Amino acid sequence: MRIRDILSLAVKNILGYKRVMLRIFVSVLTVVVLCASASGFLSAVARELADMRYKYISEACVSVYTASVGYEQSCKEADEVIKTLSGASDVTCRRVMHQYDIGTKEEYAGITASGEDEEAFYCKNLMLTAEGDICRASELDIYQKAYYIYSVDTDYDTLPQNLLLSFERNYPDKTVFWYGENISSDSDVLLSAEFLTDLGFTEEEMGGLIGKRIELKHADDDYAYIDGLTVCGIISPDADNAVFGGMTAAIVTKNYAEKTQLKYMATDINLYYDSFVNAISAEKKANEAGIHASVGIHLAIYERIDRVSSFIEKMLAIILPLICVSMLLSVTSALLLYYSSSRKNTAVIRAMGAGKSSVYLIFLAEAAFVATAAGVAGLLLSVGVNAAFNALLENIFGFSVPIVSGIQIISGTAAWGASLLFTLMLSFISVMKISAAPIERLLKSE
Amino acid sequence: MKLYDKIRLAAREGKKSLIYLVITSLLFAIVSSVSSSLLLTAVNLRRDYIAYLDKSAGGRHEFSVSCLNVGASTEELSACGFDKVEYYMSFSEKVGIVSVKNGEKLKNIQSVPFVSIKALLSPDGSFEYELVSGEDIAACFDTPQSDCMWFNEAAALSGGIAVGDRVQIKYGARLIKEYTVAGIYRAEFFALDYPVIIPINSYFDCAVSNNADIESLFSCTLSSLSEFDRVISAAEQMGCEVNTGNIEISLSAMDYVYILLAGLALLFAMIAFFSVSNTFSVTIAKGSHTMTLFSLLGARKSSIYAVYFFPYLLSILSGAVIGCAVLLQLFSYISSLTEELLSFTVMLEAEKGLILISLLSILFILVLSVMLYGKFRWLTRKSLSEAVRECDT
Repeated sequence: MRIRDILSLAVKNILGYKRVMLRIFVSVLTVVVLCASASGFLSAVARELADMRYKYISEACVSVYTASVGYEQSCKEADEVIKTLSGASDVTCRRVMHQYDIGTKEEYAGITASGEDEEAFYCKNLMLTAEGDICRASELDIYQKAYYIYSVDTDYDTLPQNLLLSFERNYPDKTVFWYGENISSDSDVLLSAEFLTDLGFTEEEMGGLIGKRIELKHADDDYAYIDGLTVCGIISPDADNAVFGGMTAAIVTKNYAEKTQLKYMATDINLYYDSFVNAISAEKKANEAGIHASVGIHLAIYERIDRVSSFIEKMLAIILPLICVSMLLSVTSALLLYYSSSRKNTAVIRAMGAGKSSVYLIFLAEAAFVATAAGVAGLLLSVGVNAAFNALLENIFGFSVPIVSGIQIISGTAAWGASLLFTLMLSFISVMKISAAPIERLLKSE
Repeated sequence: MKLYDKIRLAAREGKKSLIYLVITSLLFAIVSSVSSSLLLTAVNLRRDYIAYLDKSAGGRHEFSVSCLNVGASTEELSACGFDKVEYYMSFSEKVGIVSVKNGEKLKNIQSVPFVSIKALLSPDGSFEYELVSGEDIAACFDTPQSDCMWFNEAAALSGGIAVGDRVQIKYGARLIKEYTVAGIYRAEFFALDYPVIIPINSYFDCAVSNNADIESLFSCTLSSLSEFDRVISAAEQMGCEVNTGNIEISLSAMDYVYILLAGLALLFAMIAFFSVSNTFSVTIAKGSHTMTLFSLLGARKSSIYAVYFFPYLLSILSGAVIGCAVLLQLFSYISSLTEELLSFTVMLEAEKGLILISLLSILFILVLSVMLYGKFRWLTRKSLSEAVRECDT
């Protein structure tokens, strides 16, 4: 039999069994609409939960703060803490930051030896000079508005992914760096925009600092805190609080800071995790190992986001298979009707000399035509269903469902493909059974 | 037709379309149990979660509410729905303190806080102080007539203030009220937060009458979060900013579960309605020829109706029974899941589930009746020759 004849017979059969074909059409359509709409809806909810999770993922962090043990001991402790807690694969990033006063050990010793108030150490006339004669100096009362110089250990992460994800979600229109980029070498320095503003720099002047070598010193007695480093970036005020420890004047590398006489204050060791639950269990593990680790006070609240997500996953793991089974049952009933009512027709075609393959191809073409039409209609209808859902949920909860989304089309197409495959499989089984039966029995439709 | 014949015929016709009846039954069982459990879980999960949060907080959820104008009163906030409203403090960067002695504005007091003495010294608060000289703060009657205020030791030293001195509170150049320094206290950890303590009630009326634009901070309490959304939006409409802390995160996360489960229940029920109806239609179509034959043989409409209706009715009823069994299993699974993951047990009442399944059964029986009735109307409208032709095809 020629392909053209097979196709024309298939079309004739479809038109001849309009009512039966309509039922198959409706069955496939319902499967496609349900899969496409439900996946669009599910992805919208999952997106909202993920957004919420990422907004606070910076809190999925275990911190160890060493203030009193001195620099050398803190560095050792940092390596030990990271070694102990990094065994678990769920650590996403690690950061070690050392905090320094804007002042040298000598200055501090001088003030305390002279019996002056420690407050005097913090009120000073700071001057920042850059190549090309950009120079600003200002009297800063660091006692009232604290600023520190931080050093980052480049053996670990300098800009943890968790913090960046949170920053992007919390400040969608802001950037971490107003100008330039993150620190990458020992000759780089990051300056904070807020600190530069207090020194009297304009935003335009800050941009001009990028790539220039700078010197930060005490204007009255020439103490240099930072000297000869190249400005690689300007930290925005929002990022200073959210991504760096806040109250940042400058960030240098650990290797550079070790060469200076800056007065060391404390070390902050942070390990970031891929979930709040993991951060909580890491804290327990750390304390069991004798490490005095802490987590944010609200972590137990954020942990609920993880738990809610797990709850949804486990619920859907039970519900979705049941929904799929019900949809398969719906398609099966329509297909069974179709094949039982087309037995006689098959027998007639076989009696006229058509081969098994030709009969199979006719069934295949019929199934493909109907399933394709239903698939397309189902996808279009799912757009309408999602639009109705969107209107309803927007009004009640202010929650929006995408009317057309990639996941919706992919799921709808997958559902259509699965229905088609199922239809073809049933066609094949039916044709095999029909072909094996004697023509007389088929004509009697037994 | 005798009842016995009707039963025999119904059994014979049912046997012919047994596979379709089984499919209908299973389909209905899944549809009814899944839709009911999704819907009931959605509704009860939110309710029980709020009850769990209420219980965890001991029926007392506290929020700090800041209002940008001094005019917001405790009465207005109470009208929003808060169970208890207390002034905590007000502050303004525009307000300054001027010493009457030398007429100079005191430096180093950047934002002047006006506090509720009651709230500040309550056992729940963390304010710790030591009296250096003068009257104790605890002895203060925070009334509108009171004109006593207290200075932190550091602020008093830097401003040259002593007990008994008179100071003026000014909003820009406008005088709000004159006070007497009643005491000096030492509060190491609160030196920056409370450089001075000015009782709020002594200040409030004067500030209102002078249109002083100061930000007020209230401590508001809700006994249950069931009215959370309504109360918070009412306060926000008044121009107040409510610090909902992390309660909003917990509630939002659960709201998404509610939206997801209720939405899926609605979507599935809608689509499943067409699926089950389609399956009915398939089974009715399957028996269409036999119905025509019965009609041609002169059987009464009601007899044919009964012969076809009962197998389907049984199929739905058996589906409802299976659905109930599945529902109970789902309920038990969901309850254990909430206990394991969310730390509370969701109360899924089996009776409500059974009622929902019964309602769905009635709905589908009605749909079936309408479809069968439609089929009979179509058959009986046909002439004998049309029916014969129908049979031939």
